[in-house]
Amino acid sequence: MSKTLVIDPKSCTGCRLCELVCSFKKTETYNPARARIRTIVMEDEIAFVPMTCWQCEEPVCQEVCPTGAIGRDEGTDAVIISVERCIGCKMCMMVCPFGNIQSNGAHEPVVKCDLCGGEPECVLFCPTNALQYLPADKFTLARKKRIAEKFRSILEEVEW
Amino acid sequence: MFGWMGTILRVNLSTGKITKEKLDEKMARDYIGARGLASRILYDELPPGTEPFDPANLLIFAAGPLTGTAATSASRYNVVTKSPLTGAIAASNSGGYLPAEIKYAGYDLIIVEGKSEEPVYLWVHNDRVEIRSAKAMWGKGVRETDALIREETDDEAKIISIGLAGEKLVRFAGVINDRERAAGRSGVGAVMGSKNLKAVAVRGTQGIKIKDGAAFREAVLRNMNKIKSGPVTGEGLPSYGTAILVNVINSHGILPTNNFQLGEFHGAEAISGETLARDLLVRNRGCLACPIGCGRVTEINWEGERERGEGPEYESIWALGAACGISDLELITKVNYLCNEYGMDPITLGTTVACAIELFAEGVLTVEETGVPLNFGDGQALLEMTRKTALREGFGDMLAEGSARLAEKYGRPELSMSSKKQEYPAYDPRGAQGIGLGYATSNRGGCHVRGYTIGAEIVAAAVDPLTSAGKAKLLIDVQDFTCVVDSVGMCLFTTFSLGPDDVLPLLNAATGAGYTDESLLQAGERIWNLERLFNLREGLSRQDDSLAPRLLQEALSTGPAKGHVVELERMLDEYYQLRGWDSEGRPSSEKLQALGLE
Amino acid sequence: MKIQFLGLTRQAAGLVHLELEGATVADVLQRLVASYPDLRSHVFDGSRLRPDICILINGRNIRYLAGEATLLDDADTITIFRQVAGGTP
Repeated sequence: MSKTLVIDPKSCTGCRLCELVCSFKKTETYNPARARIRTIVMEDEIAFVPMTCWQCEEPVCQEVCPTGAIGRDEGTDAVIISVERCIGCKMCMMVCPFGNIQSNGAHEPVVKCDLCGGEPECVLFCPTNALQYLPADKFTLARKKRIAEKFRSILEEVEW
Repeated sequence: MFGWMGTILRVNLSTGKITKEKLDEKMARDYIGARGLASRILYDELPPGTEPFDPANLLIFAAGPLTGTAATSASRYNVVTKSPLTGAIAASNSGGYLPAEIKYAGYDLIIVEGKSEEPVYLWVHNDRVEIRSAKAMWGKGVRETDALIREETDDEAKIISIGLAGEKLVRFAGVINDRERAAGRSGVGAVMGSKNLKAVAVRGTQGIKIKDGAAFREAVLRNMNKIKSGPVTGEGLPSYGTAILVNVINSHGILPTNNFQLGEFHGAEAISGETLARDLLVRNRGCLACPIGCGRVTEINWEGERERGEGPEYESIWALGAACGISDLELITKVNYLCNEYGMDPITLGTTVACAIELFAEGVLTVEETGVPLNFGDGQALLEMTRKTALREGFGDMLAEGSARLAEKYGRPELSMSSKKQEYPAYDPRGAQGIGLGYATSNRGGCHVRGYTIGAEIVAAAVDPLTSAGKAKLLIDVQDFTCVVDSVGMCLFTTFSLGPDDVLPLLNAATGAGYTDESLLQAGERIWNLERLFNLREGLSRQDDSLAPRLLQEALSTGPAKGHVVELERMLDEYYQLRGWDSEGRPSSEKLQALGLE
Repeated sequence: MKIQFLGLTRQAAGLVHLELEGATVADVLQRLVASYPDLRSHVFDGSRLRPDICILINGRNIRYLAGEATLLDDADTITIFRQVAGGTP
């Protein structure tokens, strides 16, 4: 079963290491403006939400691509853009409902997260596990277990 | 260049001239960046004897070669100028996101000189630089200024600004960036205000180049693991922030209370990190690239309204709390929010109010002068004085001068708990001798982050805090390494888990400058000596390397340090000798030659 | 005597302070970890004290007293916490 990038905003401290290491892996410079992941900072609430491609099962970006440049990586199931076939029309960017495809100018007309071929750099460096890369069933099972534990303690406390 | 961006941005607010200069490679290597490099430029360019508020004073915003990279907690910059509080060199340090943005815009340093006739702000968008009118923001607080400027420039811009305290030339006004992070000490915000510079907005989309990417990445990972497995950086600071120290320092009997009259505070538990975590903490916040995340996002209920902000951290809790005898954590947090909003150093504010309270108790000050009675433990009076100080209203105009000038004016200079006119932070040096020597010799006046010997003396308990033997050597090592850390752009807190051996590979992989163990620490020593030379040139001397008489003459009355005063003179002689300075504290010509400072 | 916990040891023990008797520091620590098993990993590394545990007797670190053999008096306050700031420079 393929893995999913799981995001937990509650654990995020807004350090943006994910942006830094992503940009370094993809551009060999530290430059958050070109990162494929972005931590949204909500100034008034002082809350942080990392945002990156969800690797949709039915990607609209793929549907609209006029050159068929968008496909799926066989190993990771990531939605990936073929640099050779992409003509830089940015239709994919326009239709992504989450804003997770971006244009970095002439050198990178459209870019998105490709899960680093199965070893996401952001996950490796995230200091608080706000980003994790897990088999989907493992993630849901872990959550089930956590909630079940709460259930158990509540139910056992109550006399029927 | 690698690590460094290679360009200095210089803006003259008198003439409106904007220039870009190439960063000299040798100077960069010798002074590293941030604190070191900016100090060198200040030393070279500022005419001796320049008044801090004179347009000729320079205000330098300086990032380091690692700032903006993934290097552990490399979020920092320094704001360097001649201080209006101390008359000595000021290098005030802050993190957040803004410092890195200066690098992404293509610069290592932004030098501001001259004075604008009208309020202005600087808009730096990569290589496009404009001086814009700040009339709409003048008189506004930090948060509103931040919002207004981002609306006028770019929502992605990161903002440095002053609040009302900077505009009003409060001598301990700070410079705030990213709404909540402060280059708080030594009055750098007042210098900004004196130049009619309300803010600097920066947006950059350029990358920082790294000489050896693979080696750098490895070094970052290695250091991150050390940070995460270190007890302080991996557990203590993430769990409780710096406020965990309240109970710890109080347990050691050195939490200065009521203007350093006592070393134990009965209200410590109520203002402790544990209480803060239980009652006010919303979540942790990290500066850029920081795996520690010591920042505390807090929430209070204030006059029926929910208010959210950052802090307070340990020193602020102490200054606004124990120093004034106040044990209301929600009020302390509110005053801390106000300090961020006004752009004002809470350490000097709290300690100056504490000094005023003692003057009041002594009958030197009366309600006629102060407007309201001043008593230890009175939170409402602190709240009132905070606003008045920021606005220089009534008695606040006097408080805005800091405790040294206040106590001097009323004929009781000994009641100011300061060195070189800057107030002490939250450790009574009678029970930690090394930090006493640190306060006395700090190049920016009373301060804990020039040489944090508390780590070795108190918590790690590596050396006995009550003895003065060996403290000169300990302090010198800490001072020099701190110069390095501040200059590369990393956070001082990383030194709880990292040493020179961990910084060296990062710096070399990033810059390719080929530092050795020896040359790196020598750069730190060079920076310390240069700051010293600046201060000597401004007329400071051995007599300024002193402490408030209370710490030298009145022994603590309780706790493990009962009966102790600071054994300063003995430590100071040893310190000068080990530094290679003469008995008046002047670096010898051999020392200067060895450091390339002749 | 009074035992006071700070920070992480307070979390582990689940209480702020308690009264306990013991002749030496070693005695008191053994009684503590027997009663509060979650404290053990904060205090001991195997059979030895963790290098980052701080134990104060009336504000004085036991390193400057007689270590674990330090004799205790009923009026003493013992403060136990993990290193929370500091370390070697």
